Amino acid sequence: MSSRRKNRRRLSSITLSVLGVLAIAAFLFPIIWMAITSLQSPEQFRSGGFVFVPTMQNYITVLSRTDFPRYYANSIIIALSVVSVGLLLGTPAAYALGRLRFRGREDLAFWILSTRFGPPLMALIPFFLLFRTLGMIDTLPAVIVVHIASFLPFVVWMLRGFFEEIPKEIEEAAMVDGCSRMMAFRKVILALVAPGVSATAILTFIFSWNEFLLALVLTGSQAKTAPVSVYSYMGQAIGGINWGPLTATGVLVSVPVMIFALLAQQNMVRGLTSGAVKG
Amino acid sequence: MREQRTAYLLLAPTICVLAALLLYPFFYNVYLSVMNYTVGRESSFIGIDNYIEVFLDPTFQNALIVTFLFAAVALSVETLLGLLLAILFNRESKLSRAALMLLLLPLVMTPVVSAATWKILYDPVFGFFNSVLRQLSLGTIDFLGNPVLALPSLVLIDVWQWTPFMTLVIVAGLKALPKSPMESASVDGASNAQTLAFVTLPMLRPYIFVGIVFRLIEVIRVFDIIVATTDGGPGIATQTLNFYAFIMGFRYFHVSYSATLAVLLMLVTLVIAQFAFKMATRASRYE
Repeated sequence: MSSRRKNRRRLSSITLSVLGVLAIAAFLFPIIWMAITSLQSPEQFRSGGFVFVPTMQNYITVLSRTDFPRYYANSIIIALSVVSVGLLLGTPAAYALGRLRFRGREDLAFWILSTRFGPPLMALIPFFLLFRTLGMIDTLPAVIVVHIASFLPFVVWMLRGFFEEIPKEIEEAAMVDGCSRMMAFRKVILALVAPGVSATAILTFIFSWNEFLLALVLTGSQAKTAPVSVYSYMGQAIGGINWGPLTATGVLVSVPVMIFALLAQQNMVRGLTSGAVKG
Repeated sequence: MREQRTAYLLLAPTICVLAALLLYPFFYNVYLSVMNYTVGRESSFIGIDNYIEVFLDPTFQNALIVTFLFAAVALSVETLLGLLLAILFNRESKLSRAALMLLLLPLVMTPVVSAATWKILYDPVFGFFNSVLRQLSLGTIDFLGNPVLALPSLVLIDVWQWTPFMTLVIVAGLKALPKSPMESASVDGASNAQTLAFVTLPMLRPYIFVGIVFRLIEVIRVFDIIVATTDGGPGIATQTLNFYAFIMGFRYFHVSYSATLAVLLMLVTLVIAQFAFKMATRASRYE
């Protein structure tokens, strides 16, 4: 009796493992398919076989014969600028909202959060008209400014959660030992919150890197970002002729964010829910 | 008192930046919506005419229905599938840990790139799905070009990309729940399925709500995968509100009309955001 039950349990555990592997395979399949396509020559792609000799030809084409490297650099510059300015502005604000007591704190916090929920289009039309007047269309600063507006509320909310977690006693102990609040902030709190800051930085980088709508409207041939360039290649990829280079750019765009996601794994859920759920 | 001053001082830069970068565009956008501004023409004040026009516009009604269908189907599938995967992977094993890590990959993939990938998979001639159909002698299906199938095909892309989000939120919930209610239920003779349905799920509810609300806010403004695959077509079969507002402004240059649509989109999202905030605070209370 008991051995039969044990067998059944083992069987169901095997079934669950098989189901799990199948589910993961289904979710990874499109990514693997893209990677495989990027390693095929056009002839191999058209014949549609699984067995083929991998070629780096598509990557060489993309990196040496198109403007893609410049668009890639644009994306890096934009994302890094957004992360640095975002942290510079957002860290003090998050500290105040997370650790200081003052009137209107919750209202202010909610106001900052709610700006994150506004549709990007709402800001895009006025910004587009403004940047056109200023002659800033198709420049990196235009994209950086709009990205900061979009992602600063996220930075504040994510960091606020990390600040809240530090026990009050630690800060008080530092201040009793003769630190000013400013010193306590710099020497004690900032050190404790450093992992949170780096997780926030990584997620902000991912958001800015992946952003498409704002970059599409505000850039042309000069300040184009990597995702926008993928979109322009798609227009040219009709009939499968350019699918090799298209998927090669896809892989090149995805690899950094995927690595970053694995680095920030512990805080991913928290980041994507603005701290509402701790992962 | 000094604490209060320090707080305002630390918050000032962020508040100023957000006010300049978000409040100004907001009011400017509202202003545009009561004008009849079209690129290259004189504009004048027309009151709520744009809003009246929106509500009489059949393309707007279509966009409303498409957005609703997209959101309803995508969210139901993502929640259900996300829950199943969360239960499946909420175990202490190497396999589960690896699975939860790998699920991050679709989640963070640049949406335009996932759109490109799925466009290749869906392709009538070279796509994977159609080569399978041909092997089975079932003919060819133009997934993205068929007026009936285009929307579900887009929903599938969204489901692929975002189900992992629901899974991760629910797994975080499962890990945060106290274990004793489940244990006492099982001591009292409840089966695993009974414990799940009557003990675990009710306790998980706030987490599932937070997940749904955050998804809802995102799904209402879905844009990238639409513009990169069907471009709203065939016809207007996959034009969502956000997409419609975008093309009105940036392809047809009816700036005021586009601004009006953006205001309406904003109102809908704000109502949901209010709801989200209440749910979020409730969920954090469960920890």
